[in-house]
Amino acid sequence: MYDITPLEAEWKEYNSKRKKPFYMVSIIIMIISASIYFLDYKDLKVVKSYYVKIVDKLKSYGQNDNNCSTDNNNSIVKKPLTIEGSKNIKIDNKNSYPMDADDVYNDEKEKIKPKQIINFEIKDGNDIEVLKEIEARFNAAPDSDDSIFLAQEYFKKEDYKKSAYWSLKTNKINGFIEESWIIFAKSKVKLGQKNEAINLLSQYIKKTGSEKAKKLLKKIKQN
Amino acid sequence: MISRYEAAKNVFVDSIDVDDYIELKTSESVYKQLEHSISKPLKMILLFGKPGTGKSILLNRIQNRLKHQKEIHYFETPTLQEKEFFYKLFKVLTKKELPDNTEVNFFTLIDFCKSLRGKREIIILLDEAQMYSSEMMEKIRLLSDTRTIKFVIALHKTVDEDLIAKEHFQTRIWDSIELKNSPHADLSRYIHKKLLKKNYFEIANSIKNSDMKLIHKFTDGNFRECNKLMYTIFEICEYYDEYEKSKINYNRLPRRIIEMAALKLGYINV
Repeated sequence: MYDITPLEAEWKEYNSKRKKPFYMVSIIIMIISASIYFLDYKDLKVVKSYYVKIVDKLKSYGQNDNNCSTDNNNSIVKKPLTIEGSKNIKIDNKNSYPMDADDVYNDEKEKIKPKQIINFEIKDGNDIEVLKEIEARFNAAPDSDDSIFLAQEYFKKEDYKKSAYWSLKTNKINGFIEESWIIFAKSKVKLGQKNEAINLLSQYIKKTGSEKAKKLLKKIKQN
Repeated sequence: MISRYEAAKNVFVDSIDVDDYIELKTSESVYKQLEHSISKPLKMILLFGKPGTGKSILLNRIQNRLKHQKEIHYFETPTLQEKEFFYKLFKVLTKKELPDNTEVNFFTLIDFCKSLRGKREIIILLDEAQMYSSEMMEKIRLLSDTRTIKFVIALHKTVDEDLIAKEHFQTRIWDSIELKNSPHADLSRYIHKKLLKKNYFEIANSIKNSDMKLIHKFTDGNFRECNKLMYTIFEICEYYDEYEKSKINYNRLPRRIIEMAALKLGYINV
């Protein structure tokens, strides 16, 4: 039996030398992966920040002009929109939706293509076909987004009977949509049913304590 | 009591003993080829291949198998002196010892062989024929021309030895058989069968297919090299089994040990 220690030492040396290329390759792969990851992450951050900006602007646009609605997840609801009197919309670089994001983010032109994300279908405000289409869609599958949209549109068209009808429909589906209650109350006032509007708003304020509803109630009471 | 690894180690001691012969697909086909060549009216048959491809054991086996049917003789160790070679041959031909202080006259031997033509057919298996001198080979050729003696010449396959073969035998009636290193599957079978033949089932099972591939890679499928490697592997195992049991896995032959043996035998270097 021979002394095995030198053979073991030789094997250890052999093994470490044999594994050297694997370690080197692994390190290179790790470095490349890390670089790719961080570069991607950075890009993602840029994209994400722009996306958030766009969504914020859309929200503010929707809130200001009631022309665009968003769902709970802030994703853009793809539905045809009617922009009435679009000529009167004041484009504010800070608050309004940049219709062509490329104008705003020229340096990230290739990375961000908001036109692909947001599917606006601008129709003429008088196009009653659109509203009929949405009504049909609602009848087929009731959705509060559709009914509130119809309520808003009919209110703008001063068809208060229909706006009251669609806001009531909305309230039946979801009794906590503030905008729907406001339109319903406003429509009732316009229809000469002021007391009914006051009663409804008072009930709604009791339930939710809505500031907007309180202001409207005050306004109605003051004529 | 000897350890299991010591016993396994001894299985791989290089030998040309027929009992140690392992039947493999490739070696079996070469055996049949040789047997067929011997049955043909050829004067000389060339059996060549790299050292360790199993030429000697094949000659040994064929002699063992045919000894009761034919006059077949195996000249294992090359006889470098002419005198000794003819003495051996005289003994084969006459079945008598050469009287003291006498020498075999080559031409008398040729005449004697001629006189035996048609009466006897003697087969001489010459192992390690590359060690015979050119003069000796020429005399062997003349003896084969008598058609009484048929020679099976086993040669190492090298450039020089091929030259010898060409020089002396190219014009003769030849049949040449080449023995090659075994493929991975055959080497695997060889190792397993060798161990199983001696009932070392556990050890045979501890050598997995990936180990066999590694062994084949180191030995290039050469039986002699394989025997050397296996012997060294089990020698290392024997050491660990006796002194450092933690370094050995009885269910799986560690790759480290195969590599250590390869390092020791110089198949790989640091």
